[in-house]
Amino acid sequence: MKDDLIGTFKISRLVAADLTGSLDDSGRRELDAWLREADENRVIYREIKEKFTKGKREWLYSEKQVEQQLAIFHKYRTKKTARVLGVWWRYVAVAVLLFSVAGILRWQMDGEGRKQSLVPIEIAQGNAMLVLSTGERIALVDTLQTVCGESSADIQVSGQTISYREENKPVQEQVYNTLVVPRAGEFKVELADGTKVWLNALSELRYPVQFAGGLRVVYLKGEGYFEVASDSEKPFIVKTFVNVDIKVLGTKFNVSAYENDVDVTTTLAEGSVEVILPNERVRISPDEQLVFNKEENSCLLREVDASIYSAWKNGLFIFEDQRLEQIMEQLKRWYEMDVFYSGEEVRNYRFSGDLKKYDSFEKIVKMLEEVAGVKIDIKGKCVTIGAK
Amino acid sequence: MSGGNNFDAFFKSFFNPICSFIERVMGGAEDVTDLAQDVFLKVFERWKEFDSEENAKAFLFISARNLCFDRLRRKQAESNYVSRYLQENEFKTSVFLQEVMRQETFRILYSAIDRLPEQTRQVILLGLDGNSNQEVSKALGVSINTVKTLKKNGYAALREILSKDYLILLLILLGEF
Repeated sequence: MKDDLIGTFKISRLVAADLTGSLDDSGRRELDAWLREADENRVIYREIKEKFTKGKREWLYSEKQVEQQLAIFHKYRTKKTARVLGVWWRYVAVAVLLFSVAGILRWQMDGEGRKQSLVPIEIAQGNAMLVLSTGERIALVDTLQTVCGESSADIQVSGQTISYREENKPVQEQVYNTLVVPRAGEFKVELADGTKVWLNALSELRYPVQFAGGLRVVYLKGEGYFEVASDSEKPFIVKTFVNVDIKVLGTKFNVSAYENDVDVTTTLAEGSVEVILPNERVRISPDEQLVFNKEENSCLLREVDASIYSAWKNGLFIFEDQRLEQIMEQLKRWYEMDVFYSGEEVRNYRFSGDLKKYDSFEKIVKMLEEVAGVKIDIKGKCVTIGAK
Repeated sequence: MSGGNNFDAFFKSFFNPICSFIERVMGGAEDVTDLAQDVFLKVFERWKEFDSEENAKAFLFISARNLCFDRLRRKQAESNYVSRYLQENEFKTSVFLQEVMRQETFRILYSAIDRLPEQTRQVILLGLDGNSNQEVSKALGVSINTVKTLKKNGYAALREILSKDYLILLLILLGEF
């Protein structure tokens, strides 16, 4: 492990040199060899590069705060040394015991396994689709492309992002495009006014190619995270397919409005938004969430950690004290499967946790079984969950 | 590596990378600085045994991993908590190394940038945030040509800093404190 780490430190130096264009030939050869070694090496390299060339500096604490932490460290270290040493061995003992129990259970259960599953459940594949105002449909593949066919706009696609530029001529007539994201997909749109929208799997956004008039209106099916460009003279309105509209001036928020979900959920990260319901208007503040139940026509305002509800746009799946049924509904947006429950109470088991969106389904099933005390059977695309 | 002052310099260089590591592994919302304090305590207890910075750094990241692992395990036992980092009872080595690499690369880059003269540093950082030369010149109130020159010099200085054997350089730096 230590040698692996020291190797990693070396590669980190090569990557840092590479990103500032100061890598020499022998370093270049070494870095290239490492990149060729494994897919995941290339993935992490690209992630770091992207973050460095596009992102902000990401340290959590200022120099001054670090100085304070150092002062705290020296102040408390004498006390802590004694305390930590005292308790440490008890943790080790408990951990060893837990691991041995887990090991025995695993060993006994091996062999039964899940060998009967026929086709593995995998992340669904498919391209996002753009529907132009003429009705023409264009598949958006993961490369650079310029979309023609919309006379009033300059449309560029790069990776998983599509962007619209404001043309300088006045807008005569508002025409609409629709972006359709398939199962397991996600896509980002930059609208003509500078607003950014991340669309989650199985979602659609309909929006004008150029905004005309006194309002900016878009239509959402499914889930999207919005960073609305500020323009106090032109309110921005997200209309969902039920009677819920969200009106904002300039702010960041997440809206989940799937057709097969009884709830329409609006979660505010920054600023302020007004949710317009059939009978009332509710203003919500940062880290508040408004859940509208379409069947009961009722709503609930609660405090949450807003970042959890937009983690999906960073490839994470985070849930906090959610029912198993809700969690499986979300997983169904990425994996093609049907879920059945043997026993009603299983649906209501509650979990917290975080998963990487592109983990294999096997891995996710194993983790749920391990933590939850449920038994999960997979046959083809059918997943049956029961109590253990 | 002896002497308390060296440890202080080490703490200052690595506090942020370790916090960032912890935050990513624990999925935010944790008492990040408390855990980081515990990690540095482990390093401090062994400080005199490390014969190179690489060894101290390796021990630092391994301690961070173990403390996070321990915490995640307990969290998992207390509530129904599923973590993408805890799979089949282990913290996958490749995932761990990726996280280390992310923090190390940014630490090297940012600490190199921090050593640039103030105005040059501003130009480089604004440029990295995606601002055009024109926008940078507006923000800093200098001419576009100055921005271009500063940028050129800045990258040259970064190359200079990063092309030397960075390890040796850092040890010298630590010695100076």
